[in-house]
Amino acid sequence: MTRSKRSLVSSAVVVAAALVVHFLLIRWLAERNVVETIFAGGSHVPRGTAALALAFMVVRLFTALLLPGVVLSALGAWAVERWAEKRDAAKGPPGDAGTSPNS
Amino acid sequence: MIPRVVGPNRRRWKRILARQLICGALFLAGLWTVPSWWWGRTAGAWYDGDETEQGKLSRGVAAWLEAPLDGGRFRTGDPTFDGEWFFGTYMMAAMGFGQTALEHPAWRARHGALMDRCIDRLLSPEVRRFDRESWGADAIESLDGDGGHAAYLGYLNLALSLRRLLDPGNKHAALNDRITAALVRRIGKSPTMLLSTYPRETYPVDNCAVIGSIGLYDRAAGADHAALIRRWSGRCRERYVDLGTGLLYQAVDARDGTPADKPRGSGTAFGLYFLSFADPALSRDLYAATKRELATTLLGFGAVREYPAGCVGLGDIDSGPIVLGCGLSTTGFSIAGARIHGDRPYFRRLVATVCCFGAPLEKGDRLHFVTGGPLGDAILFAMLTAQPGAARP
Repeated sequence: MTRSKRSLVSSAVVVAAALVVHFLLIRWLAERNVVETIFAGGSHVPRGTAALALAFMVVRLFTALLLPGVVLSALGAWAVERWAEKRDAAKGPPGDAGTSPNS
Repeated sequence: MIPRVVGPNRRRWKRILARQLICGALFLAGLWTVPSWWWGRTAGAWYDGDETEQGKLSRGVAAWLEAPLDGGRFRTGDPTFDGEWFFGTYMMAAMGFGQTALEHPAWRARHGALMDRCIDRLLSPEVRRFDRESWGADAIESLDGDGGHAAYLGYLNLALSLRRLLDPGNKHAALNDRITAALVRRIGKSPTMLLSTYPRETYPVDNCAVIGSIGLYDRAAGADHAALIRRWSGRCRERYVDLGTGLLYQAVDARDGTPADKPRGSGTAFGLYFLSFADPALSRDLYAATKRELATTLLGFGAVREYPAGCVGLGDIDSGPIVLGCGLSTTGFSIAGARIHGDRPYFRRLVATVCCFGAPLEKGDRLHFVTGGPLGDAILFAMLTAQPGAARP
């Protein structure tokens, strides 16, 4: 697998994982109606519940706000790498392309 | 001509730099444009009173009414706040059902019945308990007395007056008459023209609900308290609105009406919604002040600060959590003002924020805001369906 493909696949895995975790957590929170008790605060909130609600907020922030930028950025990185790989292939091995005319 | 050496290292660094610049620019472009567009995509439908969106949320709120809200549902850690959240859920749900029934006459029968169910819950001993325990007397049983009960009676009477507007002969009409008469008498007798919410606790925002309920009652029952409303509005502008910012003080001294808290966004944004039913001009002025002093936009999302510039404060049960100076409740309440006063662009930005952080989730034909629970659903139902033109039938 080329470097550009590897980078794109790893980005896709992160995005898919975030979406799946978001999907699961939002349904769990909807069933248990726990977020409002978190907002209310206080020592009555079980720690596990609080941790999962906090995890949801982090994942929500990532998927709802940052995800489009992350996807665009990953696609941009892939395009740049592809272009560079094609250019390198056209020029031959890296060691052979050591000079360029100074214009 | 001297050949310039371009080694593999230099070429690699150029490539990395170009990649980082392009990726950074694309990330910022994605962050700046896509989320606010995506989360605000239903705002136009909400603003235009779309039946599909309103119908989904109304069914979501109605689903909460199916099961009784028990004590385990709200756990703020303070029984008074738990009671207020019970009360707020049913009250705001009633307003949402009433407003959507006005907007879609075909829904009147069903939403009128749902309003009745909410009002029955508001009148239940469990929901009245928080107010009764604070005052040591029941708000309804002591209507002939001089106690305040501004929040319980003001908010309840607003729902009753809206129900009256939909159906003048509804089963709660007589209670609406009695509460309105008691509120008019108490406001008229009070030297500050304000009623206390709890003993020694007076909040102008709760009195906005009192005045809003009287104004709406006049339209629904054909009564005339215009002189009292004018007098109250004049006093409010003079004493309870901060001259520098035009925002409503959050709390005042019960004895003489002097400010006891800062001018704040949550009280102003909620108060202007109530006042739209009685004094649209004052409501518009408060909206203009909220927009001028508190409204912010970031990445295309609208948010409303809790405190004006120069004031610092913490979040509380009124404002909800404060993030980067912006109040969760303040931002949610401002949606109503934007729709009432025809501010479509800002309505869109606020809805984008609410949908991004409220986590709307469709379950079958119902819509819920996951991070709000029953109270959040009910508040957003009332705010998103607040009527332009102050709920005119």
